[in-house]
Amino acid sequence: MVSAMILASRPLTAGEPVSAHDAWSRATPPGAKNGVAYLVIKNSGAPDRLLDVTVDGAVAGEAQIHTHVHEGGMMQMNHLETLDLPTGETAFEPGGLHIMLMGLSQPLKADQSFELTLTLENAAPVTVSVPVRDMRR
Amino acid sequence: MNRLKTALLLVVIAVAAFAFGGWWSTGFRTSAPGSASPADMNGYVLDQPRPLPEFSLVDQDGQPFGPQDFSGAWSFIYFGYTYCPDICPASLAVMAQVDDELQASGVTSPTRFYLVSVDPRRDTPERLEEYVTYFDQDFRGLTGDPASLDAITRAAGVVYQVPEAPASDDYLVGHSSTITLLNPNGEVHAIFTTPLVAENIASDFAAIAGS
Repeated sequence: MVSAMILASRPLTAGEPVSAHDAWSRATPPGAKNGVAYLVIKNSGAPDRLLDVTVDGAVAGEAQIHTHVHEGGMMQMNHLETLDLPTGETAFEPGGLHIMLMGLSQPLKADQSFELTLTLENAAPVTVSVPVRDMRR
Repeated sequence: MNRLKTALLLVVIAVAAFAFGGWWSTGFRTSAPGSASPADMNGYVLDQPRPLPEFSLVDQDGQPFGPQDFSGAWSFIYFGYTYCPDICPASLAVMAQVDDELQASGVTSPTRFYLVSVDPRRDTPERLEEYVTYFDQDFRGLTGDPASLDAITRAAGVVYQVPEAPASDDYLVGHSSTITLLNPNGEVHAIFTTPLVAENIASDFAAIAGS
């Protein structure tokens, strides 16, 4: 009964402990099969976990959480099934954690944008708009 | 038995690490006093430029490309693959910025920029052509069979790892994220290491090339 009241009083979006900001994606060369997105996830509540990232099927076949491991003189990308989100900010950025977009339907062009949805273990799903930037020069 | 196997494996790893370290330290020197590396260079200038071994790559037009084809200009070479979404496009953008910096600062030594794909299974010459020219019309792409790729990467101080029999077409490739600099004789002259920062690479190159 008490928990039902708490749930009922919880706002649907504002005040959710997990949010995302500073999302962007790198424009891709013609014919590129894979793309990338970066963002900062802010967790102002208790430790949570990122379970899944989904992307509009018209943009790419799949979105995966990847990180870079530097070992044996190589940069090796690793696919993470889930990612712990401690209280505070978790930054996805070039050369580190990133969202890999597998199987792009078409190249990502500057000035377009698309949505990513983050599924969390505890907090409500977060949808973030990702603008595409041309980072060549 | 298991313990013995583990111990043997550790010995093998230790010997390999020692051998690799020895090769590395004799082949490459950091910017120690008296070495040819510019002060604070993020990378190494070889004490003795190293000639490339024989290999036969193919360029973005499908033409054969051998070690002698690097002659006549300084060559900046990045080793990667076009399915790489993060570090390769970032590094090719850095090379394009190096090109801009060199032109803006009036460096006259002729330069060329290459992506060597270590993933020939997916990176055809056509694929490479559309990829590299996106970053700069004059950028060139090379790839080849594993034996040729092994030959050039070994000489260039680069390691890479491609799955031998991937289950699907969306496998990942591990590779060094460095830029190898060849001199106009086509010899390995220097290695730029991460973080790759265009203005630092451009100023280090100006010091190395002496113009």
